[in-house]
Amino acid sequence: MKAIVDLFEEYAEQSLGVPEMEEKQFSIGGFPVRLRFARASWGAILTKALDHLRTEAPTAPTRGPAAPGRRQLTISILDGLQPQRNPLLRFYLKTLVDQWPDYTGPRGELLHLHGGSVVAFYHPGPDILSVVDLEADLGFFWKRDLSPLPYYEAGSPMRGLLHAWLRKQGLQFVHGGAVGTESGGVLLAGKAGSGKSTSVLACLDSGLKYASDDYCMVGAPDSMHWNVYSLYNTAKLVGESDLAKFNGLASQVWNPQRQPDEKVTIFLNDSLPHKLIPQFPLRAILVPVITGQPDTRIEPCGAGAALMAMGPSSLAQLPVSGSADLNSIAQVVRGSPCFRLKLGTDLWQIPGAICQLLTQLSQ
Amino acid sequence: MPEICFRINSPSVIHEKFDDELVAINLDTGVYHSLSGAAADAFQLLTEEATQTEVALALATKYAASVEVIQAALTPFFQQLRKEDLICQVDVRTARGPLQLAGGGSAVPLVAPTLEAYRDLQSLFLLDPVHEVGEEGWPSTAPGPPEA
Repeated sequence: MKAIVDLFEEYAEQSLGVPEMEEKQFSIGGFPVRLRFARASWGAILTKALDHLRTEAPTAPTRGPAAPGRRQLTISILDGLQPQRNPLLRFYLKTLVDQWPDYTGPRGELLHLHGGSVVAFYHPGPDILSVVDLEADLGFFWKRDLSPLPYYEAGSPMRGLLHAWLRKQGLQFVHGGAVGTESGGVLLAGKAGSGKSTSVLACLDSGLKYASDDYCMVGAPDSMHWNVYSLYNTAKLVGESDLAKFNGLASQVWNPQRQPDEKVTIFLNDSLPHKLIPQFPLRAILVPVITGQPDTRIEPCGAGAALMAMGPSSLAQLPVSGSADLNSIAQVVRGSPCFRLKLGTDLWQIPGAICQLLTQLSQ
Repeated sequence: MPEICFRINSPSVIHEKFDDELVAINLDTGVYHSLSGAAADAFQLLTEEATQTEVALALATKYAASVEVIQAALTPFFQQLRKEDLICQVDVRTARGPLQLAGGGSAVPLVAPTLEAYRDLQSLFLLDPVHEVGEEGWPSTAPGPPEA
């Protein structure tokens, strides 16, 4: 429904057309993504997880293609304290916030706004409305108030919005850790608690570099080989016991004062920017399994097991994901060797086992 | 009375099949499923709209069991599929040819089709019901500064 985009575009021009308006540009999966915001605090918190992908100040026009054939997304960051002059938009936002169960689908999707190139979804709790126009390459991220963002939104900002747009550009979001080098790496697929983050962080002291510990993207730029693309530089650990395994990271925790249900969140770009890698060729998919045994081993597994590990958990937190996403993830799985990463208690064996596998696969 | 015809409950239900395994996700409930063997084949056949008898006849071309045995095995399986809202009733059937099942004539031993359900991601799939807006509604809050 284009009307909502027009209303938001007008609202953004009114709210962001001020001297304090800032822009930051990022290269996400090779695509330029520009964030516009008038409140510096939003700019700081929403871009921390993306800082490793930041590029020079924008020189291209505010909207439209950055270069022939190369699209760019412009996201306007807004909040409810910036007054909506248009009464229709004001009424819509008030109605949505107050009566969201009547308007949202089970996953927060706002189907009454969907149509043509527009998708929209609402996240109650933090009260965030996301709207994206896939043809106009415009996104809007609106938060009702200035209350702090939940740790998961700071750690994986604008995930649903970016997913909707980047999918259109041929990049598939997957829930997985990713480590490797410029010559190739692995995707660690699995739901929370499967050992992804621990495995990825155990690799930080090895020759392997970090691309992701939860969400990253996979794409096939030459239609032949899959590449993994880094998205967020965030590492999340379940609690103190996990953090204790990585002494060097304790001083880097972003949320030392956290709620009981919050994960320990660390932005690796702050302290280990040299350990981050923006992309690498995908060589294998690993399904971590915690064994309780001391040693780590890698064994072949079926594509079905890899899809079970990666498909549902990838789609779970993406409100406009569906059949096309599952099909795309299945294609990645079909085109990649799949293994079980049987995790031992001696964490420092993990990078060695992955490096050994990468060496074998390259021969 | 004609036998009930079923179809996959798309677009709420999405699925992918790998060889002998099939993964299905119900996006409305957040429950996902793993099916293998005859269960995966039966589910795949339902993408074309079919009655239980038609599915049994098609499975009988691949599995080493009579149509009657397969029918009996399918009854609880179809009940599970309906209970999980993975299939729904078709009111007006679409014309199509006979169901075809890859691997026909191979006499594969029949293992009764079953459905595994995984509910551990439901809280991630579905909206968090915790939502605090005062009785006065929004906008009315006196927010503090955002925390960077």
